[in-house]
Amino acid sequence: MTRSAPRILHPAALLVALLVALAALSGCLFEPRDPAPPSTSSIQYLPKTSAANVWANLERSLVNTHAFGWEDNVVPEGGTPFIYIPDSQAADQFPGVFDGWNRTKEVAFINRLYNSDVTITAKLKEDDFVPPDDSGGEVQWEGVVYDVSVTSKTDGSTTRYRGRAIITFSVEGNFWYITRWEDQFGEGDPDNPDQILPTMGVLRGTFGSK
Amino acid sequence: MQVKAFLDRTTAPFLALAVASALVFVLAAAAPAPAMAQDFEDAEDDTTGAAADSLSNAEMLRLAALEAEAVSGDPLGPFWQGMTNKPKAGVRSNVRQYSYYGENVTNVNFREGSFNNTSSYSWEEYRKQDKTLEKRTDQFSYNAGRLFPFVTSITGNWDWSEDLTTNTAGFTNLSKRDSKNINLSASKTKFQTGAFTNTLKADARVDDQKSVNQGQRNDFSEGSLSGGLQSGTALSEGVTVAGRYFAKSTSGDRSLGNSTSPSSASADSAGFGVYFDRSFGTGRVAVTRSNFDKKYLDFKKNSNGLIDTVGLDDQDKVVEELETRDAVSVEFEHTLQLRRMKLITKASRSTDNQDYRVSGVGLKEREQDQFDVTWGFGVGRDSLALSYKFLWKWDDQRIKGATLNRGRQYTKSRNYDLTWMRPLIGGTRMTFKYHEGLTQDIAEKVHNQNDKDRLQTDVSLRLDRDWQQKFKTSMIFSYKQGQDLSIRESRSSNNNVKDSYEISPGFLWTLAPWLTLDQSYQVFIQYTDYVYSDLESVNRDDNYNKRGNLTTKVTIKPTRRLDLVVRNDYNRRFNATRVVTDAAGNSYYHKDQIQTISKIDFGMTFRVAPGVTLESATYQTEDVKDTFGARDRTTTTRSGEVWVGTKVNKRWGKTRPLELSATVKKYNAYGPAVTATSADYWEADVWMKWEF
Repeated sequence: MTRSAPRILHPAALLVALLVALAALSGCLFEPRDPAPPSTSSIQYLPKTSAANVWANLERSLVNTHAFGWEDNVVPEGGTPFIYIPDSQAADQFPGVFDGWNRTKEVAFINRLYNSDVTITAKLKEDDFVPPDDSGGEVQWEGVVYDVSVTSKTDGSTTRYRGRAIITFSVEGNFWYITRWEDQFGEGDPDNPDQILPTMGVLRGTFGSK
Repeated sequence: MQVKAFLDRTTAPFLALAVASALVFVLAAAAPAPAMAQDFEDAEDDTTGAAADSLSNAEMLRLAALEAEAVSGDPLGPFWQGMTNKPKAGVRSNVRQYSYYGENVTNVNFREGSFNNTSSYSWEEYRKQDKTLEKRTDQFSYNAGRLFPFVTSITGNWDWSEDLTTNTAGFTNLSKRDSKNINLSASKTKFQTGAFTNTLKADARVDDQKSVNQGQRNDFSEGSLSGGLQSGTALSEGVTVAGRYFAKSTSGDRSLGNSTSPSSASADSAGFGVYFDRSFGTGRVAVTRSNFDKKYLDFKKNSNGLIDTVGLDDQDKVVEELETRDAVSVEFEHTLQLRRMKLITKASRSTDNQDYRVSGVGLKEREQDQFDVTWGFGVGRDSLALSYKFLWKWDDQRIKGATLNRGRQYTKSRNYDLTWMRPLIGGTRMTFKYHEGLTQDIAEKVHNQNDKDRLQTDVSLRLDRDWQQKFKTSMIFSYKQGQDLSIRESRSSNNNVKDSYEISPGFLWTLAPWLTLDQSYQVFIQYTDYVYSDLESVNRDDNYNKRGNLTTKVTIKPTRRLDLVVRNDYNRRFNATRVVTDAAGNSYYHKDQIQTISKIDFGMTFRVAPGVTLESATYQTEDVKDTFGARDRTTTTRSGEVWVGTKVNKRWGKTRPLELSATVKKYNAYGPAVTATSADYWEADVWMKWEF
């Protein structure tokens, strides 16, 4: 005599599971905390309707150590993947750290940097740099010289990063985002031209390898 | 227990090699006779990541592969079984750089064992900066086959590179590295000792590096010894216990800048696991503890780990660092499969303390808890997968010289996912996905102002249908909501909620075997509402963005040798800012910008002869941007690119084949973002290889 295999799940169970799942549709699974109303004026981020605005937003994020500003301007997952390519000095100093550097690593880096009790001054392009017009869905800026100083609130020490980079921006969905940051080399210290400053690759390596 | 450092520093590298050689032969003599090994696969998973130097899963597989390779030769053949050489030379070019390269791969087979050597050379010149890079490498490996009861191998590497980069101020930096290492390894996998199945491994290694960058020397010469044993036994049918121990000791000298000092490191790790495969499912419980201490020269660093040598004398810039680390991890994994239902549960906890004697970083403490559960089942034509993932981690720091900890920095993340698949009527397939995730950053003791929550909700429905195989359609509905909320009052002014909608219908129509038409239309709409935009102190305006994208692609294959592709992307974007909301709740927006981009691509592939292909592609883009404000403005830009090229793949001869591969393309581009180096360049990869 043969017995039919017992049914593991009744269709009603599927229905229940679906109801549980649909309950989630109301957005009631997780609840964020109630934020405190702002005490200061807002950081003026620009709409991401051009590559220049995206670059300006990254600078504002640095100056205000405000992670949302950085995360919001780095290309989200699902589109063109974000790539960071270090200069040779940073790559030598942090072997292996930059392998597969993507948005997740970039976001982790910026959060670790901002959460480490620092103040930052930043100028992400020189005054005489003229960026090319946006055209189509991708634009590349060559020869961008940035200057970033990170001061520790704990011991007051300041480290300066000044480098030359090739930056690529792309359109994803409705907006422009930074999709590639390639550091070429460290630039000289304007106050001491014989001193070559590290690029932000060294900063990324320091916080990315923690 | 840790292996004690015993190498004299001045002769460490050579002594290490000699001692290691002796150790290998002692181990070989003491090894029991090989026996049938029981299934040890579960024990191979006894890795938690807590110990970088442990006998990892990948390492186990590598050892097993070496062992398999060792017994694959012909035991009765002549001592010398042949040698092959594969010299290869080529040139490569692209928009970034030119490079010339060559290599030779030599393979020598003996009756027992084999020898492989790869020598390579490359020279690169960068087009977008004043930079050249020269590299020379050599890698060899010798496998002793069955000469010894242990799988014995010697590997060596030599890496030499010279990077000359000139910055815009005309300063040229030399980054030069000359690195050599040799490694003697002996291992035996899955041998039986009574009821235990064991894997044993021992290594001896010598490293020597000389490098200079920005005038700073960074040299080291070190020798290391390491060894590990993994043993397991079956307690009962389907239940196995396994333990492992690994230790490593390193000793030598390091030079950094103008300082030279002895260096040393010792590390060990121990793990224990229970593995089961019974009626209640398969899984494991594993515990691993690992630690190391390292003495080395380092630049003086501040509390953030950043090099802090400004204003210091040369002798104060470099310090003798002692770094110690202790880590423990516990993992549980269980898989239950009942017919069409599968339940996978994973839980883990890991803790990690890292301490520096000199660096301002001081003591870092970390802990991470993770719990994942995935439930998948099918009923009738439906299949459903539910998963919940929980991650809670924190790190704390006691900065050097501080009496109290900084406070924990928490990251808490929870994600829920649902996927439901169901075939509908007439060959239509439905895929429904739901995701909700909350990530929170919390700074204990408010040591920074960056507390924040991000709540992400994604819902999508996809319908696919095949219409008599010649016509396929798809439709995607998607909704996403992202809430970015800073918790502290000093950062909350930009808090916002973004609602995004996407509708994407599309079809692929095979009109004839040689002609297909693929068309899709996408509409993206996003509303951004700033939570506090109604406050006077917050000068943020809610906004609205819409983008429509029509993609049309025609593929034509008029002959078996010719492929043509024509594609048009028509893209229209619309950005607006909310100016007012009336009493009924209707919002009114000011049009800020309309942008229209049209791009036409044409691609051709023609197979001239076997192994020879002609390729060509071109595109043109027109970008019209209307900006509305105090003064309306219209900007039109045009850009384009054309390239023509050929691919050749040829092979001559069978016993001593000569192979040629060549891909050569010529690019010309124009447009506002096209620079001199990207306006006119060659992309090529041409190489020739001979085997004898």
